[in-house]
Amino acid sequence: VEGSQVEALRTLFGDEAVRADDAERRAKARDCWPRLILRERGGETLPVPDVVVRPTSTDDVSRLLAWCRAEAVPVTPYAGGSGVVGGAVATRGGVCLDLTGLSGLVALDAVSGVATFRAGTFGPDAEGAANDAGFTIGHFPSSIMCSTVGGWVSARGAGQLSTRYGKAEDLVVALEAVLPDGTVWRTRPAPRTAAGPDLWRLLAGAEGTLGVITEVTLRLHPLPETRTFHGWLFPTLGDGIEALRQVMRTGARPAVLRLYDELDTSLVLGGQGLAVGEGALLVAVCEGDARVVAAERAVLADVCATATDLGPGPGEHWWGHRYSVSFNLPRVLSGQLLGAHGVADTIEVAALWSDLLGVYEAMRGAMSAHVAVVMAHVSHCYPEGASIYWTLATDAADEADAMRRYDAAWADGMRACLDAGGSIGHHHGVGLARAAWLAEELGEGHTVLRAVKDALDPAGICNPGKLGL
Amino acid sequence: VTTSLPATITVRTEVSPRHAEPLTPAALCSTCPKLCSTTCPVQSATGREAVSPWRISSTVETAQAQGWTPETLHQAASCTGCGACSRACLAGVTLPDESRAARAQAAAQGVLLPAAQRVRDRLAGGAGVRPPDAWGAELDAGTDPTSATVLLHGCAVQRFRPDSGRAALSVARATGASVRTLPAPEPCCGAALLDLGLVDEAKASATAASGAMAGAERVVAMAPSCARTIRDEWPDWELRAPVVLSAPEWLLEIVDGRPVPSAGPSVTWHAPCTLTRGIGVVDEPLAVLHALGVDVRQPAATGLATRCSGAGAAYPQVDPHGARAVAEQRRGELGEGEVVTACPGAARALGATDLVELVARVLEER
Repeated sequence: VEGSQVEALRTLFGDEAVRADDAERRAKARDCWPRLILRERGGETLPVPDVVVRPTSTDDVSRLLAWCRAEAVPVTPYAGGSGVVGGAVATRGGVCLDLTGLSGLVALDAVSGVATFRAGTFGPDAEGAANDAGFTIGHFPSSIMCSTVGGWVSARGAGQLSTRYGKAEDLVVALEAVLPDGTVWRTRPAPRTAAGPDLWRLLAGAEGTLGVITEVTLRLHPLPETRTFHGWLFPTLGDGIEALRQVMRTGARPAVLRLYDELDTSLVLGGQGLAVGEGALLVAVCEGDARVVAAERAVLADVCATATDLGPGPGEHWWGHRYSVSFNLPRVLSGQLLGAHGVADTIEVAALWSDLLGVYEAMRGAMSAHVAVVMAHVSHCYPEGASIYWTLATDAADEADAMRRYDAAWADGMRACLDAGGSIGHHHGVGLARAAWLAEELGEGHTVLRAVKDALDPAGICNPGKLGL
Repeated sequence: VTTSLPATITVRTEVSPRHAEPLTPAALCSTCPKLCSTTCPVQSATGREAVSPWRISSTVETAQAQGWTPETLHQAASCTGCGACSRACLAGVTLPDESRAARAQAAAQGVLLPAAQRVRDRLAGGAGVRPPDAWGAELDAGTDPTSATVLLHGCAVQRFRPDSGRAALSVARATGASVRTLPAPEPCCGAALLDLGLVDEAKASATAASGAMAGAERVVAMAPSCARTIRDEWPDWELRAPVVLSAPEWLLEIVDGRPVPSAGPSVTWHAPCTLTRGIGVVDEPLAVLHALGVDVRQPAATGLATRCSGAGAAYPQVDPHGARAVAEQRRGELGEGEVVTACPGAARALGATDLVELVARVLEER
């Protein structure tokens, strides 16, 4: 972006909305992708956007995208910057489109139980607005404090209670977006429709490559009347997975079903000061209408009858610490736990019940060749399968070794997941981290995606490099 | 941790001696998912991520290694010291402390905030901290020079809110509360100078203030930042500090137990950040208002979760435009009608009534 173009942007949007100072550009250099943190730690200066533009209306977003198209300037959407796959990185400089200026509740329909938020509304503000009217969105990602409604949908995120409330795309009733040529597209709110394909779904998971989401209408749920906590210890991870499958096949939808593998179980139980028993820990939380919760508790008790009942303690402890885990990452990446060149990351994948244990074993074997600690929990359950959420951590000889181990663990983990029949991502998105494997994941679908991209964004200016586009 | 580990890699189960020291804020912030994002009033009002707590932490660490520049100092000083981020931070980072230390470190390297340079020039020219036309001539009117309680107006009251100072004296006279003021010109307790990074000047002025309080058992600080400085900084500077009361605590002593009027005014309460999160005075101002029969409304963000007016930590001098944006943001949350607070800086920023002014008014109306 040339200096004259920055001036043109200031003329269009005002001085306050356009920032080209080094401090602001550097602040937008990365999201929370650990690989970028490793690069910074290794002394690398990350590329930055040329200019940051913070519009405050959909019309402004429309004018900005039209301007970027006319000027052939890349544009990368950025809001909370909480992503962990590099989806908000301005790989080719250009404009960083800061969406936090589009914030707040637009409308709430208490009869239908839906609410429309502007895309840059942060999680606590959106949930708070819903709570004020007696509802919950039910979307509680561990990043809720720093992620936005638009980002949730754009990256197809999942909250910790998604087994009950669904993933971000399951919450969407309608949305408003600006297409790469500046056209404003509003979908019609409806509970479901047969009026052609659900085209809005093109934007859910597109991570800004096909346009920019500016408003989202979400379905709401009544605030839970009651909440109960549970914990069981299964002899093996496989036993626990079978229990999860049985629970989900009954139609019960506990808010949390979180099954830790043996290593993760030892750390979780040890962290609670409990005896570290052999086996796999299941943490469960039920919430909602008391009658429904009672039924779910009965299902859980029945299915878990042969496991060791640990009472409410594990569930209560998890609930009290559910946003704390992320703060252990600095201790690894800063060298306090695993030395100066420690590496840590998380990887989430998904698989059908019939493939889940195979995917788990294949990925664990593949990644263990490169990193010292490989552990996982199974969560985000569905009638037909679930997610596996990996935590990786290792020491390394130096920064180059750290990066080599990191990249090798990702590459072999993704390879093993695909070969074992899993899906390479469940809720962190694709960004740059998974771009190399997306074509294989989607098959001919990636050709369709490329065709859609070429039709909507022929110059390829919208979030270049993401999704392998 | 030995299960399932490949034999070629050893996981350290104890902290490496080289890295045994506590993690720096920058290290903690660099990998944090930024849970403070929605708490920072400056970030939300200006839309600038560069002034978010996590970026300021990073800038401070870089500047500590590479030296300060006016640009990095401006970024690090773009903090109102409100402490909202600290309350949200599970890693225990206290950005107001980081920002204050950054200002001092930069000043020690000769990199000064423009406002600090002006104050330093004024001091070098023999003038006091405040401009020569500052209020002060009426300070002694009606006070008891033998009182064991000092009424410390503070720099902000004297510069910007002289009516608050007059109101405090009026309340003391009307209720027979025994106070004395310091001889004019009242020395700065150090708070305003510390906010500008002028540590030596702050200590010198605080020393003068402490000396002027000789014999006093208590000091009533009109500004919460003065109360905090006397309570927290003076002991570190080895200065004698009387027992410190905030203005609401003193006012509660005065009005508590008095007959409650049947119908007081209706106001919205803005809880100042330094008063609540800074020195833990949360309930007392509300008790004062209730004792006066005032109908009190509170915004959603109040008490320990209050939102900043933008007036703290010299932020209006660092970035006047940003400070106005923060104040407008908070004013919008407070709604229409009279707003009452208990901080001269917040009262000025929000166009609010200081609590002591309201007390004086109600007493006068009776």
